[in-house]
Amino acid sequence: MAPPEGSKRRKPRKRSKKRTSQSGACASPSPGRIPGEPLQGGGPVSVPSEVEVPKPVPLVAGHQQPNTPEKGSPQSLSPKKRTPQRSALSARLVKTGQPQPGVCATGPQQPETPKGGTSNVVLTKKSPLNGPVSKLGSAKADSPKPKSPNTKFSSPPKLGLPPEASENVITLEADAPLELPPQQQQTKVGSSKNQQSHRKPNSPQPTPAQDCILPPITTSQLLTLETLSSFIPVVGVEKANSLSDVKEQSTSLTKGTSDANFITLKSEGDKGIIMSETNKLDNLCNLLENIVIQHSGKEAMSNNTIKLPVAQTSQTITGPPPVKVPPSTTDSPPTTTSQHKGEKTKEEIECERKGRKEAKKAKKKGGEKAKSENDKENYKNINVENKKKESQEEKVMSMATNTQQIQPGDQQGQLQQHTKLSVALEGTDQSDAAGKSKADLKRERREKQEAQRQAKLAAKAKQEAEKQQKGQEEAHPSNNKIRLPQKKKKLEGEGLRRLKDRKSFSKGPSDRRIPLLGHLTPYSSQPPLLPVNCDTIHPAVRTLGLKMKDRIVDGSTARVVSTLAALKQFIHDYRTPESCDLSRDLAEKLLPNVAFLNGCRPQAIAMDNAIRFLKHKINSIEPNMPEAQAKDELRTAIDEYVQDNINLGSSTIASHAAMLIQDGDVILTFGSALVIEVVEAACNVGRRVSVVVADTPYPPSGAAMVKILSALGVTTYYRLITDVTHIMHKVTKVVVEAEAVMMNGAVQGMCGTASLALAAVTHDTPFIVLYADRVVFCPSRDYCGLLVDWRQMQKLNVVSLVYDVTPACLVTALVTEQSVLPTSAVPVIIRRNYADILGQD
Amino acid sequence: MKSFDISAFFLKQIASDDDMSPAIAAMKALMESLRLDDSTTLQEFIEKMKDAREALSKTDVSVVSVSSGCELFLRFITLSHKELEQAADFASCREILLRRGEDFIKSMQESRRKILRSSNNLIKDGMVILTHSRSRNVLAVMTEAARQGRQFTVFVTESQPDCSGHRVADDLRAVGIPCTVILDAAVGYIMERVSAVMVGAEGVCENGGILNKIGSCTLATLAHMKNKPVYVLVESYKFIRTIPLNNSSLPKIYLHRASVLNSGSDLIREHPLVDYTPPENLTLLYTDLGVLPTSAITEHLIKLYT
Repeated sequence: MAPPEGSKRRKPRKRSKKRTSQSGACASPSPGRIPGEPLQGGGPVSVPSEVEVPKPVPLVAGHQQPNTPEKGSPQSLSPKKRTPQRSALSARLVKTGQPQPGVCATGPQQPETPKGGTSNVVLTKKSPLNGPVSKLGSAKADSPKPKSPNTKFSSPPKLGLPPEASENVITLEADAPLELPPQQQQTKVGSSKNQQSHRKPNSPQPTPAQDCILPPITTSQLLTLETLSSFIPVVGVEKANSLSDVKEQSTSLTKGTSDANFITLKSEGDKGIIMSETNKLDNLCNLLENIVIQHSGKEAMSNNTIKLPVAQTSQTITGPPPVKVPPSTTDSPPTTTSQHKGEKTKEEIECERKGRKEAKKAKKKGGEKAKSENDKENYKNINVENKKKESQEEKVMSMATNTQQIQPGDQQGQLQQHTKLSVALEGTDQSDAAGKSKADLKRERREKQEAQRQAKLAAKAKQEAEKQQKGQEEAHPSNNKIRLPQKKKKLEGEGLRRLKDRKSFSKGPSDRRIPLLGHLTPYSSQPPLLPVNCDTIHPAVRTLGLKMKDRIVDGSTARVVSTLAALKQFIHDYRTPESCDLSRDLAEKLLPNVAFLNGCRPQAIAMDNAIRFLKHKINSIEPNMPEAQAKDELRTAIDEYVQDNINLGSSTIASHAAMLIQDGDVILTFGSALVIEVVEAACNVGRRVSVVVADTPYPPSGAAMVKILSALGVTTYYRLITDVTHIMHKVTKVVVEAEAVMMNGAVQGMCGTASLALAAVTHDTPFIVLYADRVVFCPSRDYCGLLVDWRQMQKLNVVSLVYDVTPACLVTALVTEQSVLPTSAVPVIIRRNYADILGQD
Repeated sequence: MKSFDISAFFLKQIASDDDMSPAIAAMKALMESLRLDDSTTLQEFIEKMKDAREALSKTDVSVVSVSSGCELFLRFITLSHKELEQAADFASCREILLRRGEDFIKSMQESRRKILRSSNNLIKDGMVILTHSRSRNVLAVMTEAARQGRQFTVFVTESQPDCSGHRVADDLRAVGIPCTVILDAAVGYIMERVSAVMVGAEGVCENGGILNKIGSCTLATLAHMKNKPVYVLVESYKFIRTIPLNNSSLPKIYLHRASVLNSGSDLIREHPLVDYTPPENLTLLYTDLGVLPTSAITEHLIKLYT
């Protein structure tokens, strides 16, 4: 795959050079290759960002400062390329027919604005819409990247988009080279009325985005926004391409397409959220325009300062002042909007053309399914990141939108602005990187120059052998796809980490598995990530989750009690929304809280049972019961549960177990509060016992127990579990505490319990298990443990397991608060007492 | 009313009917005391029953099954609290208790027939069976098998200290079953020739282990070592809600007769009457509730007592 990809890449670059003859365009492809390679190699984020930076910068510069010839040319080129991609998407849709509608649908959905016009119109609209959507995703993806100072804004889009754009351009050339160049030229000029007209009718949304772009006068933020928008179309095109390719290719491809559709849907959902937010923000903006303008000026200043180095170094000196000026210009939206629309229309047309060409190519390609799938995955990741970023940066975004004075009418435009703004914000965040920008700028310049040269060469080569290349072009899309994912990955950098964290919230970090313990849930040192303004997790639950994560709240009993207390608070603060059943709604809203606790630390089985009990209580609430009464019932049920199962349990168990202890017994045990109670109870009954505490090095819980026992006047021996065999023949009983008892009678206890049980059986010593939570039964589980801590070097796996499982055949007796039971009684009790609760799931 | 000597009545019952289990006799004694009872409240009645049970457990017999049978009996007759609460006065209450007691004793006396039914195909032609001590259930099953024409031979241990094995041998020969009495110490010698081990039980613990005449543990352990099946024929009223951790944790009241315990002699020198056989050494329990594995005992105990 690698060699063909390289060839493909080269060809597209050449094509892009020929058509655009723009340094920026050329630069973009070359950097695209470079970043892609480092990404593949797993290079650091900074490298890709640098590579990427040059591409976006030229685009931005062009938009911002048409005055500077260098910047202008690359910028115009880049947008053209992007737009052609969009057009290509639409074209593909039209060509493919069946597949196209699906793509179209996804496209329009994302933008939200498309109300479902005719196919052609829709396509055009969709393409812009898709573009913005993709941009959003890319912007989000980029946002994590902002670490690289120079490239903050541009770099992320460049990484993902530029190669694609170049490729797209190439394809366009092959398909309809004549058409593209004029479009590009028009875009370069700054406004093509025809294009504008097309764009305006088709999709008002793109126009706002274009507005942002057009006012090159605007601050660096605007520039960045523009670049983002340009990138966005490219991404959309790529997606469309991948989709079309997949459809054309085969059934396996169909799967990929479905994935892609999902992705688009997600992005759409994100957009929708953004839209609503943006609307609110717009209102605020209108009210506070003046203030906002001032703020925006300040922000623009800051952004400019950050961005300026990049723009200056990379291209002509745009100068911070011009950037500052734009905010004022933005105040007059209509003019800017019209200009923007014109640009966008051009871009869109280009995109459409590119998309058509790409669609053709895709049809030809047919073979690169895997690549498309990879791209799709990347898109998903990007979307997730985007969502995160969006949620976190909503406020900032709103501020930025205010500053930019987005057209109130166009939601899509606002959305695009948001995305752009977010990118810009990220860029500002990356301001630290600005210091590095000089070196980066130099690199970017070099890269751009090289890219231009290559582009020229490529253009010549393309002209010479366009026909030959067509066949190769088929392969190109796949190359593009491959490159894109890599670039995106690199760009995402932090984003990927965030993604991992999010995954850990639901699944736990799945990347690293310890070789022999791959079946265990890995421990994550990071608490589960939550959206910034997430109100689904009750503060009490959140606090408790973090405490459990840090082991401030430890031990199954303490965890159960505190969990129930937090959930009680949650129920107390719960208000049933109108037109909702309390039982259903409450049960539904309970889920994320439980999931959060589980994400902080895998639930103790006692917790699981308690939550099951609570769910059962909630489900059994009658729908017509008044809310206050229902909540009272739930709270009292929780109190009773704690009282019956936890508070009363320990003393009853102690008295039961004391009956099993005889005079002169030597008791071997772990550190356990319950065992202390048992020994105390036995002493109260007049039994003279001595205790051997077999401690574990981590955590040394036995030391405290030894102190308490010696204070009670009990003869106590303290030793580590490692030398327990030396004393085992003197021991008459082994007493341990269980964390949980499984359906088959197996006992989950502190790590080391099973080895004590083995030693006890070997010496024919009774092995007594104290079981404090009679509700803590769970379905059968074979030997397992919960992984609580680990770190690893290259080939070193450090594992600390907290629990182990003792098989039922090693347990002599099980002491519960009910009575002393054999392990064979466990399923009976579960069936008799907890059938209603266990049957829920 | 004149005071009723429940212990004397109980011992008289045992002496009068050799085929009656001590537990059944104890239940009948409790019934008699109930019939003669002059209590005016239910609470007073329950207190008197507890005293009667205490008295029975201090008689000079092996009390494992007596205590379990008495507990189950009292539990059963007083279980239907609804019916008792609806009764207008204690006289009607006593009527209810008496009726339930009669029913219970009748159903318990049916249990041996149920065991015979459940162990219908237990003994096959050509089997060599080893048994220990004198169990009425084992005798009944073997007699029934012989009546059906099954050809099998039996080895019986001497069963010290009361040498009940000789009585078993006489009973078996009376019904035409070839029988040999062996020394208690010869169990290991004879085990390899045996195809199955059948014993009764004085009590069945919650984990499925049994309390039986001393020597049963040896028998079951050796059988387990030789992979011979060990069948226990026992009625369900002998189930006890305890789990002995090991033989040394058995209560002294089970191990020795009341006379020995009251004599104040050194118990170390006294021979225990029963031992505890852990469930690992047992194969199946044939009861009036059906053929049960040892792990199923706890389920039935939970059913009986809740």
